[in-house]
Amino acid sequence: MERILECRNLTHHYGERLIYENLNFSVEKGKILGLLGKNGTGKTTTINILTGYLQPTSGECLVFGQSSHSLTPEIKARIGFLIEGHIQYDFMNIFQIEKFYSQFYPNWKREPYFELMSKLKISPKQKIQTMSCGQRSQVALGLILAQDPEFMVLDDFSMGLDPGYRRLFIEYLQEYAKAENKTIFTTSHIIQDMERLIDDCLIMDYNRVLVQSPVSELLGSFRQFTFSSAEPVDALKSDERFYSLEEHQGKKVCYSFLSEPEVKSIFESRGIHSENLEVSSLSLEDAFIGLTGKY
Amino acid sequence: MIQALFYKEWVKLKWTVLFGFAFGLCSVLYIWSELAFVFRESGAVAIWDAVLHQGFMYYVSFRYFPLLMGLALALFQMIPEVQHKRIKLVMHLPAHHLRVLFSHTLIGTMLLLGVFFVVSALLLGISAIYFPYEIVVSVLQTIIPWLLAGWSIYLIVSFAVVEPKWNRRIAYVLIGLASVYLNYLYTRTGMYLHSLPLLLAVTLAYLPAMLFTGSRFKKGVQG
Repeated sequence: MERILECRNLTHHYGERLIYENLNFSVEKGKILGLLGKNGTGKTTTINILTGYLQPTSGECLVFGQSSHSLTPEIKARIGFLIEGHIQYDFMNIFQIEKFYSQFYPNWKREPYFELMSKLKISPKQKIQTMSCGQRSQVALGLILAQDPEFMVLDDFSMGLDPGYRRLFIEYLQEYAKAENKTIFTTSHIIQDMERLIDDCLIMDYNRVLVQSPVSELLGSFRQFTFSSAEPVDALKSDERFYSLEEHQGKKVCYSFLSEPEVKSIFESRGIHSENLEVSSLSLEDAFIGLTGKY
Repeated sequence: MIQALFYKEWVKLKWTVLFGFAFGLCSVLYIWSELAFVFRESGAVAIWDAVLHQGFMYYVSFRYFPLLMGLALALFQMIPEVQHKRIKLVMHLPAHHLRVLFSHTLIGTMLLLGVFFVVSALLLGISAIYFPYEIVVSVLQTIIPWLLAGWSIYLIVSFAVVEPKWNRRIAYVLIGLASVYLNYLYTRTGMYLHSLPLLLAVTLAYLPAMLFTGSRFKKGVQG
């Protein structure tokens, strides 16, 4: 499978502060990869590196086989970029901004843009700066669809959007990406949105990658274990196979990729007598919390 | 590319340019009305004598117009680009990012010099109604350093706004102000006649500076 994006051994520091070290990941053609992580784990740093607005301390990031920091105009034309907050030229109206961008892209498709714009309740000469956040998001999305890029980078696409616009954005994008075999790299703070949209996820914690896998695989193998036990379970905290061990409403909760028999066997070997062991499958948000913890 | 960028910049800057032009026009009309009044009241001989022998600058109110116009154009052109890092949008266009940035500088320069040309031509035209050719030429020689100061401040503020670090921004503006001050050092008519090539060279030296600060932004230098 063709790799559209490939980051190899990315390391980045801001001054003395290490953001991450030897980060490796790739996105294959036709896939939608979601980058998930708490604030400060390096999501924006990664977006900036792969769009060429930040030079990593070491390592390289290749987009269509070219270093992201020196992309040729031909490659840039194949990449659609949504800036965090749906930033656009808000001093223009929807016709002016379409006229501006259309002159740069030979394969410009104005129909999807104006189809999307026809759904907005705006006056034709209304400047983008006077539109609501949701309307601005549709303008930014419409421009990307008109550009018809092979690869899209969407930085926190759900920021500032109400549930209706978030759903609209996702549905439109998902339908388009699947129909046209587009590749997407995206981040969002709202993980329910990501679950609807993405095929694969990359979950980052401070200085490291916790998981990179298809969402279905993650949700099929990562489980929550709830149990009661009179014995202290602190020993599990140092066991890397268990995540986010905590007590909740008098019960002990932990998360793991292990199966129920494996967990039981480990508990027994450590002298933990667990009662009422319950195994629950998880949503992507629960899995994210399970992997990264609440704090 | 340049046509599309010019379109974007015109949408953004048309009111700044038109307001600047109107301001320049008003200052020239004011000079004209004052000149007409003084000619009526004191007579041509007294005025000619004052201009020729006492260095009287009847157009002194034009002095800071280019500077204000250059400053306003730079701020109204570049602040929207750096707000929310919007400049990433033009850098992502399918063209070399330095070419795109330099085009912004050229478009701004074109608009600025366009306004300067029309307003200065009006000032010189009015001067030609009342004074002989030699005085009109000396007026031109006197206002050229002011016009160059306006162009310089436009270039300096533009590249300073794009610079990611605040301490450097301030340093660039201070150095720029010191250099622009040279254009206002002498107030007598035609004093800069032999320095004009030097002042022009200093202004032109600021022209590519945007490429430097733009590259620093592209590298991800943190503010």
